[in-house]
Amino acid sequence: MMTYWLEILPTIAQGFRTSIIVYVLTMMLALPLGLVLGLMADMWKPARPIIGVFTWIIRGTPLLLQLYITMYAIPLIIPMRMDRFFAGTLTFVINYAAYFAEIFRSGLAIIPLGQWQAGQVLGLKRSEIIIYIILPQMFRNSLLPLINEAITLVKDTSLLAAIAIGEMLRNAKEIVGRDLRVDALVIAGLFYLFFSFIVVRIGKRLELTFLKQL
Amino acid sequence: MIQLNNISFAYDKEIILKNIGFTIEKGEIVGILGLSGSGKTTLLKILSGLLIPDKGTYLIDGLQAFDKQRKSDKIAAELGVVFQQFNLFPHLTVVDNLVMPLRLRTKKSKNECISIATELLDVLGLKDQLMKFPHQCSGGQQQRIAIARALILNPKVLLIDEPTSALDKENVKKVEELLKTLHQRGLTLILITHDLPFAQAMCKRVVELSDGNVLYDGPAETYFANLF
Repeated sequence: MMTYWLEILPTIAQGFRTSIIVYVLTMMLALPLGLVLGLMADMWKPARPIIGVFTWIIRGTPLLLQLYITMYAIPLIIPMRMDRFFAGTLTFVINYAAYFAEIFRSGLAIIPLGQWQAGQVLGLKRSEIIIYIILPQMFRNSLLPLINEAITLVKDTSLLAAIAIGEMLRNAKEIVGRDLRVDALVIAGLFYLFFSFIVVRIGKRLELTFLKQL
Repeated sequence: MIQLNNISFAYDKEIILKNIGFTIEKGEIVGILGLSGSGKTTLLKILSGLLIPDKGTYLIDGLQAFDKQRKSDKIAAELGVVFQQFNLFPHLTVVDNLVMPLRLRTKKSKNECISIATELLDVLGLKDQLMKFPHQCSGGQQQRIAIARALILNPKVLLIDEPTSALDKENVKKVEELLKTLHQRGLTLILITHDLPFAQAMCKRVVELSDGNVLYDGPAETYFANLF
């Protein structure tokens, strides 16, 4: 069995690499995008309905459907050749940005008005109040749900298989189909567990660092 | 000197303050009293610059506190405000609650700000709390931190909303002593309260609000003599 595992490991590891790249890109792009959307939804009234509709659509439809739309429907409307990896990553970024926006918006919403007022009576400018009082509290309030989303994203990367991206689960499924053995699925499961474990550890470290004042 | 002339304010169409006017001289201790809904909180917000009155003038040392419907820097420079709920910054340590506004407002160096903040907290008996977060401090300590933060920018007037509402008897005594010491050092005190025994012990003058009007403005002694 060991020889067989060593034989299939490179293919699964190759898929794991793809999953990690999509994961990192999604976090790097969706977090700032979600932050901007969350701030705009809270602080800029005209943007509220537009962002509201955007998050409603994205959160109200399955990620799998969104992947199909980006990969197969959009090229029918806008004649263009959609790269699978680009389509997959773009969908993930948009989807997670919508969730992050809601998390940041709710993180802002629970900051008491008194915090703004305390900054105002101290003569701080609006930008100073936002940077030094509101944003740190918003991040603190948002941290736990953000960590949850980060863990969910580990598992969601497996959906990329649906648009034929060679991520870990797709590679494992191909090996199962080829060899008629389920070992590849077990290894993929172990990889996902390892990946989640790392994300959970990072999350715990962030909790300890930023939530120590709670 | 703080001067309010014919101040009116309404939320939507509900009139909260109706042509309020009074003057507070330097070095006074004035109690603003009144039942819930009398307009005390709205008055506090106007005095502290959080609300702009619909009508009337608000002068600090003869200068307009509001310039073209915008709060002037005069209010924050002259008035320190302590909220009923303290509104301390929960993500900052006690000392940083003072250092952050001091650094931003004065552009002093970080070390200088820490030294000023530490000294002030020491005077208020909070030397052991410097590196704690607000929630790790007792109610009485939190109030003293809020007072320290309000004093960090050297205001001439301290405006305190319900100073005794969150405190037990022992801490009320401590706050009384602290405020009297601050007054002796030249600070003008405006105490917004419904705690009559506290107001009687502290105030030299009372302004009583009722239904958005000034019902009484005069010596505290006369006010309490007629009351009890």
